Amino acid sequence: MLEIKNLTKIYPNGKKAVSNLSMTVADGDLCGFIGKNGAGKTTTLKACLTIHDFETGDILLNGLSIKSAPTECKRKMAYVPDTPILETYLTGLQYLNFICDIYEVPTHTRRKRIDYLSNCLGMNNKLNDLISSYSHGMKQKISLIGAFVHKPVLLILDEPFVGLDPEAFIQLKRLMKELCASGGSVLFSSHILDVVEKTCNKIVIIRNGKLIKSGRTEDILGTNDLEEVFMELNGK
Amino acid sequence: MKMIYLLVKRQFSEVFKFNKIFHGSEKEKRRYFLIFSMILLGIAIFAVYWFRNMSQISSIFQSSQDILNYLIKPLSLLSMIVIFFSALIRGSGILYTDKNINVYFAYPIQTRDIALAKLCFTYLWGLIIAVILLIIPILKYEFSTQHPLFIFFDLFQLLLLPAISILLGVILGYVFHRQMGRVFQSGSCIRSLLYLGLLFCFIGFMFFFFQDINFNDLYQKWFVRTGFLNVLTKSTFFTHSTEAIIFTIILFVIVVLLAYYITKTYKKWCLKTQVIDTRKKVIRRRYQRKTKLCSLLLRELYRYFSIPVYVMNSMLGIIALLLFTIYSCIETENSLMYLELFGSIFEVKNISVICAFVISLLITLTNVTYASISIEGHNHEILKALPVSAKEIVLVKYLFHLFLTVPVIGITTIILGVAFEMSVSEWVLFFVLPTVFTAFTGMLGLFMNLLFPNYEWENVTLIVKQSIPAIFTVLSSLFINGITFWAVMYFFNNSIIVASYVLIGIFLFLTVNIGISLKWVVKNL
Amino acid sequence: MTEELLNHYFRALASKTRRDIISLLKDDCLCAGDIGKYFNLTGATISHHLKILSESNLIKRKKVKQTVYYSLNIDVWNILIKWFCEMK
Repeated sequence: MLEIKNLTKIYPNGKKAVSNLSMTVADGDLCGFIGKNGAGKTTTLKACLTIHDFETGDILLNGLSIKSAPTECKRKMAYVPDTPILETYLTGLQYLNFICDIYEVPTHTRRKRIDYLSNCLGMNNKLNDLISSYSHGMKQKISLIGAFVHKPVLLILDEPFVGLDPEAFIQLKRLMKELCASGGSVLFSSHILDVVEKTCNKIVIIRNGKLIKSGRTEDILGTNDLEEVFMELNGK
Repeated sequence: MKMIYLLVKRQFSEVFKFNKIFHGSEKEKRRYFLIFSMILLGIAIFAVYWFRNMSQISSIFQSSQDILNYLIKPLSLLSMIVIFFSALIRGSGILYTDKNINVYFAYPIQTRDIALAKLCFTYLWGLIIAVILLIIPILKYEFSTQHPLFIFFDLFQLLLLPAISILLGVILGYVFHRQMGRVFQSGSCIRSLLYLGLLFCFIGFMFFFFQDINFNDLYQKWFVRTGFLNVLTKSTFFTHSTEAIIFTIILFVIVVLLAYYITKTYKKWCLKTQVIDTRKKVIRRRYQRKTKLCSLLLRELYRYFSIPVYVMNSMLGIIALLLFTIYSCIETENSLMYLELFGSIFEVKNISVICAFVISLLITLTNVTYASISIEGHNHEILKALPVSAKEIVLVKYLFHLFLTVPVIGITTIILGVAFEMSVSEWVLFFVLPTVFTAFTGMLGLFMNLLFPNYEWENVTLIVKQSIPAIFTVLSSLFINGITFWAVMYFFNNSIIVASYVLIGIFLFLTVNIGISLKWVVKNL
Repeated sequence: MTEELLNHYFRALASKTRRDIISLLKDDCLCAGDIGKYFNLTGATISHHLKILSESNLIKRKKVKQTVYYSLNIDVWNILIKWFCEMK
């Protein structure tokens, strides 16, 4: 379970990216994190992984604070950024082996998982090629395989659907649901409201770094669709 | 023409980053202004020095014929060779591996104009090389000949000279790239190893063979006795003869035809370059588990060898050391003589200690830590998201530096220990002293890079050669090591072995202290 | 005694510094450092002259541990003396 308590992040230029944000993502939740550009979504996600420090508040994973025990927390988390930044000098398989070594995935498990995930996302024939030769979509897929391969307790994805082909799109939704069904949780940000509405059981909406709405999907939507709710909440 | 001008201007803007000065953030404006000022100052100093020297050399020759035969012809050949190779390596890359080329094909711009703009940009670079090498001798030559009207014709030839080299280099570069596509693929380690091999051979050639070359004999053989070159150079460039005019016209026609050929095939070749054939052979997949430290070290190793400029810049010390070792094995007596003569300046008789100092100075030139933090670039955020502590990351980077340098020191110790018949205490000193020095310089580089990290680089050359950590670490390491050795040899020449062991202790202490102080700067990771 | 060899020897002797080095080695074999002390020249220059003399075989080198000692190559000098005598 992820708990964000009164998170505040101020950048060096004085901009308050996140202001007193509190939210939770329980085990089994597939949580959609939405907001306009510059609302503070990426900052919040990065703060959960100690990529950004934060001024006040705390972030807890299963009761363990990310500030006091960062490595232990990150061992149970995985992150996929919006732009896949990968080791272009490695092959896909070398990269995945590297991730598995970092997360201490045993040999027989990693073989099974990598084969399974690369089949799901259509990367089976590409694993022995250098990442530098991959297209944007392929890099995104390798990033996703690297995130799922060690079965994280919390999966954080920043706009994961960008660049994926339709089949991979569907497979990713299935994999996210699979992870949640096995007790993990997923927190992802997206601008594709349709996907968030249909996939997530929980939605968090932020604006200007502040939480404006959070709760179960059916409670947030009511009789409207997410587009209408979103536009209404953003004052349009 | 207007389109070609716009595209060339865009290319200049991309390469020289003028917009950073006019439209960048305050920090970027200051940094690029400083960089440009230093580059312009360097160019100005070099220009004054170069043209003064060329002028002096040109005035040695009495007749215009001497200037032509002994200066202009060899320099023409040299400039053509240099321009050809730079077009082969860089020029074809500028033309055929532009990441934004597909966007340009989508614009309402003729492909011919895109190709000509890139050729013009490459040509300007070649022209600068040709002018730097030839302008002074040609002007001296013109003023001393009886045919002043030929100056315009000779200047036209000077303009034509780089064109043919550029066009041939670009075409061959493309063919080379297609044949060896996988090798030159971004991230490939083979490219770095190839360049390293070339650097090793070049330095070895300069070190072992260059001094023994008899240039007079070479000139006689190539320019006078060889029939082909004799015909080529006898009545061609700058000779003020009818054959020269005919040859120039033929060359001009060839240049036009080659340029036409390149523009015609440009789009097709660009698209072919973008498709790298994937492996046809099935490679067995390996899933072997390694420890976290081992995996991170392996990652450092792969990344290091995938960046040629990083390898070339930091391997200089190891190459120099290996060449010194090879030389000392082949010419042991010569090597001992040089060391002894050097030692005699300070009245130091112990050759092994002097040799250990030399090894330590050479190995100082190999340092990967001053760029190892910044080289993560945007990837450093992903690294932070992994369950790897900052301490582990820093440790791996330091271990990688030692992993590169210490085995080489070990091999050198064994080989030279045998060649110089050292005693046990000398062997120990010979290994420990350079190891401690490389440990010190590695720690210094790491500290500087953590103090001044730069993750926003676009070109890796910036952090490997032009960053504050790189410049400071290299210069200060050489200075500290050099001054230390001088002081030990000057003041303790009678008890140099004891002094050397004390020096080891001091530098070990300094290394440990810098290591402890890393905790104050590791927050920048 | 070939003409090529003679050229070699006389080219090596065509320098005052090298002739002075030969005079030094007449009485004793010395190492490079000791030879250098007699001249007000840089180490690079001394090594250059010693290299020419070694390559011409007018002097020979003997490595003892980490020191190289130079001495006159008597055999070559005897040949040169014989050549001069034949000229008489």
